[in-house]
Amino acid sequence: MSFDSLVKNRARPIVTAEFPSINGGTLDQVAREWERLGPLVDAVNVTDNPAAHAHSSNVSVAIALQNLGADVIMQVVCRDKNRLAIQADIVGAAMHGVRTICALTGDDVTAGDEPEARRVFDLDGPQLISVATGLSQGTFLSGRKVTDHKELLVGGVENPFAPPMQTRIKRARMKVDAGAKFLQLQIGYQPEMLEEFMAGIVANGVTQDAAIIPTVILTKNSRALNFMNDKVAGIVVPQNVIDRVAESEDQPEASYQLVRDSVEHALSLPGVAGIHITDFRHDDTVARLVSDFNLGPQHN
Amino acid sequence: MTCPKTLRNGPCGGVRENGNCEVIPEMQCVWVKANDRAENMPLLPKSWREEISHLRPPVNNALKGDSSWLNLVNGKDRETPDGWIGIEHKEAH
Ligand code: SF4
Repeated sequence: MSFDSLVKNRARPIVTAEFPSINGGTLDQVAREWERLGPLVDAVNVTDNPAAHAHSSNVSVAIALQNLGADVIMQVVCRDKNRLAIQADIVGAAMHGVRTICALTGDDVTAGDEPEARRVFDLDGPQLISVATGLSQGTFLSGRKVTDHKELLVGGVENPFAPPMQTRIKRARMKVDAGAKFLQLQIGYQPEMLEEFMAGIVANGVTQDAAIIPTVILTKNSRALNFMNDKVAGIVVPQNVIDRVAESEDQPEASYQLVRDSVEHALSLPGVAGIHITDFRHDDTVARLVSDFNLGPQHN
Repeated sequence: MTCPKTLRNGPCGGVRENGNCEVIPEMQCVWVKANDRAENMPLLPKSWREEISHLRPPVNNALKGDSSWLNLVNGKDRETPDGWIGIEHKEAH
């Protein structure tokens, strides 16, 4: 079943995964990664200069994947391009069949390896959701018509683990009101915050109008958790979580059990529509996870 | 200080655990501050307090350098692009 259908009918839990960033090279690399990941998940997210590092563009990788038969979620961030360039990317990718957009504000340029770059943020995440919804309805921001427009599935991202909680709940509502049909949540290691956020957005009706998809990150050891805690904006990894992995004799297995518990917890919460996986292990753990929870096209 | 990302619909997802800014760690996020203020002013009309969670339109960059006071007075800042649909395509909640 397509990601679009699953978002709308929620017939079963959805599983999506972050497609690895591509650093130039040839289309073979895209094909190789796709062969590994594609059969396991319902859709893949193509990132847009993640963590403010330049890579092969979101549009180029999304089109390549589309041509391989993938169900693609094209992420679009506001950091690097103004409203003209962003709209051109969205309608251009749609021309090639890429119809699912995930709108993000994006990390700041200072998070990346070229901190001296000019930051753009001509639009912000919620505005971009509204602009993409306008394109889906056939109108550029200027009011000019999109020729023979195609309907898009527009979504966004929210971070339940960044304060203030009540604002996060309202912001999720704002994004859904602006047209988001799904929200992929940022990674977090405080399950009680996810619970509070979900309860809030169940109460304000967000979960009726949009599929909510929390994220888990597959890591191999406590070093990776320490790195995220120290270096990545908006992520806190509590010490007891780091210790659980650090004190284990089998860190890769302990790391997996941590993720397994998170997935189990997330899927048990009312309003959660699925799971998004970011894989930093590059082994067979994605396959193990989807099999353990009967997720994805191979198990349905 | 203003938001380094010049967001009109903040706070972004990079706010730190202590409420400080992703980009300038020693500064409180300006949107966290704005929300705190609005919530701590019970005498503020409800519509003003709600305004803080409404979707604001993209900035009109053509006004860059103009006096913001003048723009406010003649309503130019309230004009939005013709194709801006905001949240109008959905029933209000
Ligand atoms: S943390 Fe707040 S002030 Fe800093 S960039 Fe994000 S929204 Fe702007």
